[in-house]
Amino acid sequence: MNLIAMLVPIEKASEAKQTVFDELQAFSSKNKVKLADLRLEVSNGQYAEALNGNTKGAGKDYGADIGVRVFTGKVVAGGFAGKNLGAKDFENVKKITRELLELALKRAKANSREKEREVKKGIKGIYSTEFAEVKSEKIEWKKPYKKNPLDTDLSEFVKRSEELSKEISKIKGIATNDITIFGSLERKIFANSEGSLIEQTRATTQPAIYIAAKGKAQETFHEWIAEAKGLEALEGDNSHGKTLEEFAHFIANGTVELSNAPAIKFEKDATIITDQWFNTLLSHEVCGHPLEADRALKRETAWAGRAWWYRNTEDNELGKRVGSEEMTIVADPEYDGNGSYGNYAFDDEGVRGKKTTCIENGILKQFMNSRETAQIFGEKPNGHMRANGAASMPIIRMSNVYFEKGNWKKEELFEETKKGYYIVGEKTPSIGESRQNFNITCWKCYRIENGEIKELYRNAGIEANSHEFFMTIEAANDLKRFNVPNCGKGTPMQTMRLGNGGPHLRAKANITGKR
Amino acid sequence: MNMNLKELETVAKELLQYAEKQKDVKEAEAYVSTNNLNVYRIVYHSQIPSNGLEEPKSEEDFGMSVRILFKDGKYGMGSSDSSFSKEGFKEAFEKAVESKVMDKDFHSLPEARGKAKFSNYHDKKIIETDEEKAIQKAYELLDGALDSFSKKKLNAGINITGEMDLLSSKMAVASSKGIMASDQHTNALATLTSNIETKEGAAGSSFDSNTHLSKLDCEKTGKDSMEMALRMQKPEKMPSGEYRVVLSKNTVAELFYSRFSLGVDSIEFFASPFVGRINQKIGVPEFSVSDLPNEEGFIGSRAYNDEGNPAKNLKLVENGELKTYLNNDYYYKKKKEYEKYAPLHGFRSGSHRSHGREPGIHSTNTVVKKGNYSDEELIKEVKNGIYVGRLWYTYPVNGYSSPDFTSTIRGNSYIIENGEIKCALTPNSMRVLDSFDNFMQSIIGIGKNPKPVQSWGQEETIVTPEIALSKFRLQKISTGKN
Repeated sequence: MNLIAMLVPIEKASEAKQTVFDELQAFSSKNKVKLADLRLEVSNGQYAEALNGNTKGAGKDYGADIGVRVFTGKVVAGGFAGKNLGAKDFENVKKITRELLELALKRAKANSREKEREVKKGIKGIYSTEFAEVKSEKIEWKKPYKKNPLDTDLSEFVKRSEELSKEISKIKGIATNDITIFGSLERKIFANSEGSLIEQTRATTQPAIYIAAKGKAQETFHEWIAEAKGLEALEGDNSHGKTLEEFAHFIANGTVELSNAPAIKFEKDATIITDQWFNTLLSHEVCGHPLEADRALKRETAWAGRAWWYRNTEDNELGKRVGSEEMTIVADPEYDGNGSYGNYAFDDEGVRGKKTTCIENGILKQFMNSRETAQIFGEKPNGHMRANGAASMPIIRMSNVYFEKGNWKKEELFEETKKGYYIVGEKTPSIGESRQNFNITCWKCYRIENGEIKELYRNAGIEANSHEFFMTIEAANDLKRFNVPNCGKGTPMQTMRLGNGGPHLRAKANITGKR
Repeated sequence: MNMNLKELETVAKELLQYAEKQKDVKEAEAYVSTNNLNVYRIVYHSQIPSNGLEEPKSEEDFGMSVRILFKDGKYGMGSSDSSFSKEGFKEAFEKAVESKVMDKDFHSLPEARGKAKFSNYHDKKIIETDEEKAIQKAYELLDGALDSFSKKKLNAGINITGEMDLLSSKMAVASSKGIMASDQHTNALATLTSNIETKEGAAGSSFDSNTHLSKLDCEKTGKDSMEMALRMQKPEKMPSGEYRVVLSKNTVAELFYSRFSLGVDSIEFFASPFVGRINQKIGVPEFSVSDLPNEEGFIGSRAYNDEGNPAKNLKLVENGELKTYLNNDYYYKKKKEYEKYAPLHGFRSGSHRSHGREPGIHSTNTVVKKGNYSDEELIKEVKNGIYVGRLWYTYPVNGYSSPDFTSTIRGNSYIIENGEIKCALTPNSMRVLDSFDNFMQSIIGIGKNPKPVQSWGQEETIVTPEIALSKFRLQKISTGKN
């Protein structure tokens, strides 16, 4: 590791943790706040990028930030403050912590005064913020990895991305290709006024491939290998089961093949079989997002939208059938295999992440929650409050959310499909505001005839009403998860890493395409 | 970190001097920036416990970076966060050394191309935000909406969400190619969505922005949002088909965000529907679009780009013909064919100054030329069709090089009959399946009242009037029960 680029190694977070914890406790006792918490993060990473065989850039750097929340007042309200940290700031971390806590307190007090004014005016709905209780924890957690992403010299990243990009450029039909290799280590500290002090460490390896191909038509595709692992993920230890080079060729050749395939035509009420990779985007958009409690409680209406299965506290689908017997959706921060970006021990409120069955055999059971929304639902917190960095405010995010496996064998799903389409790989989503319907495009689409995979088509996707689609789901037993590195939510927008997926599914939907 | 521009310029000059003295440096550029963003998020529901103002929050960052062209032809960039110290100079430079690569397309740092005439367009009240007053102003959003609702005495749940944002952003840049520039901008933005939870649902949204806080009217934004929702009572559904439509400012902006990619980087990646279309007719003669960075009050305005050169007006589409792409200095020098496109848009972000990023290509105020139609005349022109007030989740389909997109119509939308608004269109009941090419080629009327719009999650500003189209393809979809 180079000393200059890593002026702030992740160990700095560990060195600062007792100081920030003590400062937080002193502040909380002095000001008698309802709840105060603090997060401090340090990440170390390196990357290299090559475009059409030519290196475009490389870098090795650290990132560090800190953020605090304070809740106080007669009518309890919150305030938040966050900032980036530089190398010198770690010498003054006690002072910085105090200043941020004071700023957040000032905001919380001003917020509480205005909130109290609204309550006195008789505005219904506004309440004094409450939190579900959780046990305080003092723990260190580290997700295992084999090959530290920082132990490989940056020049190796540069060489590998450039050579691979040159190789891909040679494939007939490739118009442009871009290869990025990225690896990092991150350490997060969480402390709160209730005595919790948690340290969590994990690695990330995330190479990305962009391809533009020119055949009979123009095709573009962007995909990644993404794992919460070390560089072993580049050598085939990932959800795709391919080395970086194999994966890049797979994406490049497939995109060229697609650029010469015919465009599909619209077909109503088709039988479709979706693969696990497509189901990553499907489970993410149509299941995961509406299972976030803040959406259900209409706290995200202006931004990310609502959830069709929860109108209000009296009128909702909790305990009712929303899908077929074969549809089970799990949110599982404890899952730690391939495709587990959403694996952590504790969320950013210090709540232990628990495997939660949100939809069980088609019945809506529970949402992913925070301490505050758990209290509103009268449930226990399940640990889904996360921020994309300590300087950002935590909000409810998915962990690893996926369709649980069913009883069908994949081969049986195909054998029993006389006429249909095989939907392979994820592309782009357009979803109704309450996730009540969707239009999701795929990478590849094949016609199925008498159980056999036939011609390849481009420009395909599926559209359906969510409820009707869920009621037709049949699930195979080959569950597989993939990672999503770029889920956007919150304001300012926060980009989150998480896991999604499922087994092969068979269902009814319209095939999108030329009408 | 509240430093003035003179102080930032001094840091940039000292950092440049430091970098130029180092071994093997051929050219150097020093860049410093500070950002302070305050966000006040409104979250209210009348029947579900809510907090009103969810949380007043701030994010701040500052720091500096160097871009170095070394004598061996290699290029590197390094930065130092939260520091303007001598140790920070060393940190940034050493990172540039460590990260240097032989990018055969990098030829030199940007040359100085003049001085900006546009200046002093920021607001001190945003730079020195008074927290207490800001929180009160954010509550005006909620109070405005609640006030409008209470006058109607409706027995329905209401859900009000939105935000007020205050941004202050500054930068200074100095280079061995003669660049010495500094700039600061401030933004105040308010947006609110009101939902009335009747059986069919009613939703209204409003937006206001300005470079100056005193010109941001939160109470009116709140009232407008609820009044739009109130107008959405007793909505009706429409069958699938091709409709004559009026697109609201917000809707036009959404289409631009999704498919109007004119950066040379997008063109090189075949990630734009405009590849190979320079000097071609892409729209009707009335359709003209410019990038106008020096407009008072528009939140995308800038005096300088992040390469240290003046931000200047640029005609992108003139009378329906595509004139140019957006470019930065790197791409300008990369290929002969890119020299045709002026390097005016080397910004590190579309919304703020960012010492940690390389200059990319970002627009400033993308301005659609206004027409002669009043809002009422556009409705009359359409005669029978739909007013599309707000789109949701607009995404490209058929790849990034295709103009095709899909989206759903969320709220603020109405059925037009005999040149008048007949009634509201049921929210979330129609999906758009169309293309940006059709948008540009089907224009039958352009409004005369443009306004800046910045949508959630977007960095750039679109300034547009309402626009009427002769056809827009819509598909009836399930509304769900929410």
